[in-house]
Amino acid sequence: MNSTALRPQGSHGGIAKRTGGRTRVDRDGDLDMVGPSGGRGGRGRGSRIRGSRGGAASRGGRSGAGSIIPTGPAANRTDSGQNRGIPARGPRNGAVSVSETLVEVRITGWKESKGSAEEAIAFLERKSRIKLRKTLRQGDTIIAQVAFPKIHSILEWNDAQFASSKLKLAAPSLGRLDVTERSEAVISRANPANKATVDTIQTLEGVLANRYNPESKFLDLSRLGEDVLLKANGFFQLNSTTSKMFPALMQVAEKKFTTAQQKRDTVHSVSLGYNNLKDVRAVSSLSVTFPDLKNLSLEGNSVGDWKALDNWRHRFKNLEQLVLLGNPITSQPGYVEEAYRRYPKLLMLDNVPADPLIRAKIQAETSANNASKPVPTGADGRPILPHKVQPSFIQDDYSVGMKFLSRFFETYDANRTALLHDFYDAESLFSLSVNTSAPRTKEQQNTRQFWDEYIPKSRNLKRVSLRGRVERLAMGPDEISKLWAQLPATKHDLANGDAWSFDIWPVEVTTGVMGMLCTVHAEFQELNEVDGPQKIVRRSFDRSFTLRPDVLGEVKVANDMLVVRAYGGFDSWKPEAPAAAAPASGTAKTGEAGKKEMCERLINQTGLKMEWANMCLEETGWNLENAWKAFLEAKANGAIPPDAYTTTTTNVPTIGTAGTGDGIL
Amino acid sequence: MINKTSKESSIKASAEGATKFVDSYYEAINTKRASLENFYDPNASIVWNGNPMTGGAAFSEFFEHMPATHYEVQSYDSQPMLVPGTSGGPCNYMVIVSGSVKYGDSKEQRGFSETFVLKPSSTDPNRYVVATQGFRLVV
Repeated sequence: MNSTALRPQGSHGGIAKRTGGRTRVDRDGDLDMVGPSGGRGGRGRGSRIRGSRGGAASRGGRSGAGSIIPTGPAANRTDSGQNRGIPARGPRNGAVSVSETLVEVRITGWKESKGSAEEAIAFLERKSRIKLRKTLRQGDTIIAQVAFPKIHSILEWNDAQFASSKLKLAAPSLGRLDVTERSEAVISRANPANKATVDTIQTLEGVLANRYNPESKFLDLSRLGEDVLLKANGFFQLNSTTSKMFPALMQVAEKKFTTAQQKRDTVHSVSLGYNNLKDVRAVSSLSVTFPDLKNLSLEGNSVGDWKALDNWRHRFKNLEQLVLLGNPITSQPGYVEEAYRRYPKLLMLDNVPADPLIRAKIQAETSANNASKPVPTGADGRPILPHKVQPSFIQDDYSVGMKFLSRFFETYDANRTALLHDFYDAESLFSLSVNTSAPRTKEQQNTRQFWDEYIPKSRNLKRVSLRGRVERLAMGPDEISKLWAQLPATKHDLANGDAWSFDIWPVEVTTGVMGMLCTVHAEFQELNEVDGPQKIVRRSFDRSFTLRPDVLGEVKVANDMLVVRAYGGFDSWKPEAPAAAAPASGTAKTGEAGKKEMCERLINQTGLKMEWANMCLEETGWNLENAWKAFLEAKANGAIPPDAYTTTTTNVPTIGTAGTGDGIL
Repeated sequence: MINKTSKESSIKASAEGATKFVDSYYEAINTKRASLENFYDPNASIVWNGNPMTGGAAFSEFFEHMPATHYEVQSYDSQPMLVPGTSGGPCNYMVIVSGSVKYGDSKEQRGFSETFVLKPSSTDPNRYVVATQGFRLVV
């Protein structure tokens, strides 16, 4: 609180100056709209549209900002003498109103006409009904001053026909914002009065400048509906309300404060008081533009409950003061508690300092929540997922997939050509993608990975252009052979079964043609010819195949997709202890219920019929893990007849055209 | 035999289809779980870490019990699924994805590998839906 202590209205500085902070205020106290690197060269004095202020105003709680609303409920309210934390519109204590601020207009083009400078001025005054003040001739240019709110109206007379010529009007001091197309779009939607976007930006810029007090770092966006500038520029015509104008205003603000630090330094407090807000949807962008706000007032709106503030639910986490006085929400039960719940750093609510009892209560509640809320974690400290990691899922009645995989990886290291001959035909496809940023084991985390031999062939679609997409996809044995020959020689360790994961199940390759999908995760060693200590490189890979019949019904590879990544070990597919785990001894689980449960699990995993699952478990001493291993072994050896499976499984067509039922093996 | 032009066009289509799918699917799984079911064929066959499931509804229901997830796709690739002797109509696509995933409040990045078979939806042939999906945590 020391940086932004709020003081009662009327004392010095509604919000005390932050002493250590970096400010973006120039010597006149004006907000530097462009920032340190932006060009201010083209901007004349008139850009300080608040005009000159007396010293009294500078010291006063409020400077000229906002004094464009001279009377009305706002002024009355502050005069009522209540000590408000966040300053609302102040009394006009000698500050110069923006409506009295003059902006320079330069008029040219009259010299080419038949009329004189005096006639041109009279013409413009008559047409626009705007008084041109302090007119001055400077060569071909008439320099005049116009009250700021009128500036856009007078500029509409640019290009006006005057005595056989066209008058040119410009207000260079207004500057011109470099706005993105996006903000232009927002703004043009916001302002249906069909004004030029630049005018709109200038208006909004003016609104922001008027309502910003650099000393108190306070942006007063209260009573926008009464804003003379906004009204004069048609903002509230045609039902264009706060909902459209506010995002546009925030867009303009975004352009002024480009970094988060800048925003933190320049704006500590915002008031959105008296804007007839029922909720904060229309103004939700405030939390995006000024996420680190310390003081916020929504006084005198129509906010009914906390739900109406849900758009800011997880925002403004650094809020120290909140004012919701004059909103129905304040009479809701539990209002104070919820405020402290939502804004953990809140020190003052509705100008009442935090009740230590309430704060303590909320803190206790929050820490209790934090203790119980996180996702439950298992013994390994990882969040528990709804299903446990299971061993290989294999639904491969004729062992088509199993046989293919064994043969493939037995042969791949030594004789890739033989594989091409046996399993790849003219329509077979192979491609490789490298995931260079994949998670890896701890040991690998600080080692440098070299991918040079893979990158030129990698078909990672996140990175590869259209041409590479076609070139790097190999079709048919010849292209695939060429690609494989360029990949480093490998050694796959078939002996260590734990290092392999494979799931195999039927897939529809195309309508009516069934095949097998085999997904494999394992590792290989790269046999590099390079000298040096890093001779043997260990990589992890994922490889998915779809197998389909060819025209003769032989098993062929339709798709072969390989992902190579940094070594990630093989713990992740190690089956997790099932919920109905066998006793620690790992031996038989007693009781009929236990047996039934195991039997069901085995049926789930294998697709076996009850009697076969029972038999399998019986033979392995009712140990689920051993039963599973025995099943895989028997299956790989072709020892399980098709009718050992439940009907659903046998119904799944195997390789071969669906419907004909003639499997190929 | 599939000629080179039709090969190229199906390669292009599968790459575009996969890109569209990967972008929207992982956004949905991270932030809009309620919409997950729309990505699936009603009879999709799914194997998640060795657990079989059938249909998008089952998968979506399963995912409701999942802690918050943050998937990051680090690489993906796709191929058309070509079958000799079949007409040149729209074919299925196979997509392989490699990336990282964070669960719940854990900061740990797990590696995952995911394989999809996408097929034209029976109701809207221009839309591709998941017919087959295999997921494994791999790191």
